[in-house]
Amino acid sequence: MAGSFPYYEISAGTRAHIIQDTGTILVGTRDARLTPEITRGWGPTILPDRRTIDLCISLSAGAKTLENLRDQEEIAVTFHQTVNYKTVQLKGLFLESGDLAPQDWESFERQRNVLTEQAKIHGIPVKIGLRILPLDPVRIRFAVQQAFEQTPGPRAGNRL
Amino acid sequence: MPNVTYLSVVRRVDSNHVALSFQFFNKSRKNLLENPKAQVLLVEPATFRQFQLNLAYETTLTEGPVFERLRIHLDAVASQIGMSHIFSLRGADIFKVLDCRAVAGNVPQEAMQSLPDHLQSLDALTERLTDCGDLDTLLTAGLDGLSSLFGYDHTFVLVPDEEEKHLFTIASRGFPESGVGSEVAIGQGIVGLAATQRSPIRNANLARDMIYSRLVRSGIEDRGPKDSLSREIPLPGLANACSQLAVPLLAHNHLLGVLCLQSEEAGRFTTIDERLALVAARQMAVTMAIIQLKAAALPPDEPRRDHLGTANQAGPCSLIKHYKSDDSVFVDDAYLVKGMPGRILRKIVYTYLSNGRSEFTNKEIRLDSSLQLPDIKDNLETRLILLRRRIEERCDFLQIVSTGRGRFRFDAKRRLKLESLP
Repeated sequence: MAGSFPYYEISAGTRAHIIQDTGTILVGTRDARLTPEITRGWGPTILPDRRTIDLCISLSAGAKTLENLRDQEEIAVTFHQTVNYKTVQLKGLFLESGDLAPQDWESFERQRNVLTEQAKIHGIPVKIGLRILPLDPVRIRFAVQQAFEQTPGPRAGNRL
Repeated sequence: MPNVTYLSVVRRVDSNHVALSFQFFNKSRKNLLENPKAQVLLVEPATFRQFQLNLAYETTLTEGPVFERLRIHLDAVASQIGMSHIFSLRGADIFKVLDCRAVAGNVPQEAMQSLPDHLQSLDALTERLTDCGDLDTLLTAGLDGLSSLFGYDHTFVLVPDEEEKHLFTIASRGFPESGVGSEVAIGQGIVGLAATQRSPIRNANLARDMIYSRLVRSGIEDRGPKDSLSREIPLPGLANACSQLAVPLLAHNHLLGVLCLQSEEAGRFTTIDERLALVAARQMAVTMAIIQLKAAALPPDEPRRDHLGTANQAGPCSLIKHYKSDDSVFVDDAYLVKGMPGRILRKIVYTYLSNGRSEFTNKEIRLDSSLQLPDIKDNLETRLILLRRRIEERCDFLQIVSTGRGRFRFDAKRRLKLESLP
C-alpha cells in the first residue's frame, strides 16, 4: 500500500532537474475502479523539507484528477526535460489543494520560461507551444514516497 | 500506485483501436497485465490541441502489418543515428479506444478551419506531369508543382543505383544546398525504409524523435562498447527538419525512386498530405516509366563528329582524375561524382580528348560495353541528369547540354587532362 512507504527526501540532482530543467509535467491518478487519469502539471515548488512538492493543475482540465486525489490520495508525477528527454517520476500521497500563493506564481512563471526555451529548440512557435498552459490553475500538494529514473533507455524504471 | 510514462509512438489502427510502442518500460507492462486500463494524452503537433484517450489493453503484437508499421516508424528514426540494431520495438500494444475527448481549454481557432479542396490542384499537377517528355523536365515540373500547388516547398527525389543498394538524390527544390548526388542506403532512415517497405513513411516530429533516439544511444554508449553502433547517416535536406514524409515512386510495384518532403514545422504532414503525395508520386512514377520505355525504344542515332576548338588547346588546364576502384571522378582534386555517372564522364572526357568529339547520343553510351550498364533497366537517363546537375553545381567550365531527344553535347571551356588511377 502507498501508505506503507516512508517519505522520500529528494536528492540534489533530482531537485535541480525539477526546478531548472523541467519543461513539461504529467500528473497521474486513478479512481476507485482503477481507471487512470492524466493531466498536466505546472510550476513545481519543492518545500523546505525536501519531501513535499506543490504544483499547479488546471481546475477545469484537472477536475477528475482533483476528484481522484481527494478520494484515493495516490499520485504519480513525471518531470520531463523535452530536449534531452531526461525524465524523473515521483510517486506519493496527496496532502491538500488550494489557491496559488505568490511562490506558486513565481514557480509557474519559471517553468513557463524553461518551456519557452525548450520549445524554441524543437522549432515550435512559442505562441503555439504555450497553449498547453492552464488558464485556471489550482495548487495541489503531495508528499514524495518513491522516485524513479524514467529517461528512455536501458535504465528506465530504475529506482532513484 | 498510478504510473505515468512518455511514449514515442501512438498509432491509429482503426476507428476503435490504437497501437502503442512497447520499448523499454517493463513497469508499464506489468501494470497493464494486472489492470488493463490506460489513458493517453495526445498533442496535435501543429496546433497543440490536446486529447485524452481512455483505453483498454487487448493484446501485444510482435508481428503483422500493425507491428510492422510501428516498427518502420521507430526504425526510421533509429537508423538516422545508427541505432538500428539496438533501438528496437519489442511489441505493439493494442488498445481499444473507449473514449476520446478534447482537453478543456486552449482550443485554437485555426484547428477549426475547413480543409481545402485538393482535387483541382491534383488535376493541375497530373496535367503538368503527363505533358513532360523527358526525365529532367518531369522532375523539375513535379517538384515545382508540389510547391506551387500544395505548398510543399522543400522536396527531393532519389533514384536507386544499379545494385539497388543505395538511393541517390537526383533532383531537389527549396534547400540551401541541392544535395544532388547525396546517397542514402536502401533500408536505412525514413527515405531508405520507404524504398524497402514500398510504403509511405511520415514523421510528425522529427526533431523530438531524433532527440529521443540520441538519448537512448548515449545511455547505451555509457554502458557498453561502441563497436555495435554503425556510422550515422547524414539526412539530406533541411538541417532543422521537424517533419518528413517519404513516398516511394512505384510503377507496377517496381521501385523507380523515392519522393521526400521536408518541413521545419512540426506536424506539417498529415494523413491527407500523405495521400496527396502518394497520388503525385504514382503519377510521377508512371510518367518516368513511360519516358524510360520510349528512350529505350528510340532508333540509334549517329553522333556528329565534331572536333576540338582552339579555345581548348590554350589557357589553363584542369586535371580530371578517375579512380577505377569506385569510378569516382575528381576535377582539380575536388570530388565530383562516382559510380555509373563517374564511368560515363570518364568515357565522355576520354572520347573528347582522344577523338576530338563533343557530340554524343544516349544510345552509344547505352551500347558501350566498357560502361557495364545492366542489360535491363540501365537507368541511363537518371545518371546523365545527375551528372549534368553535379557538373552545373561544381564546374563552371564544363557543361553537358541536351541537343535533342537522346542527344547531348559536352562543352569544355578549359584544356583538360585525364588521368586514370587504380
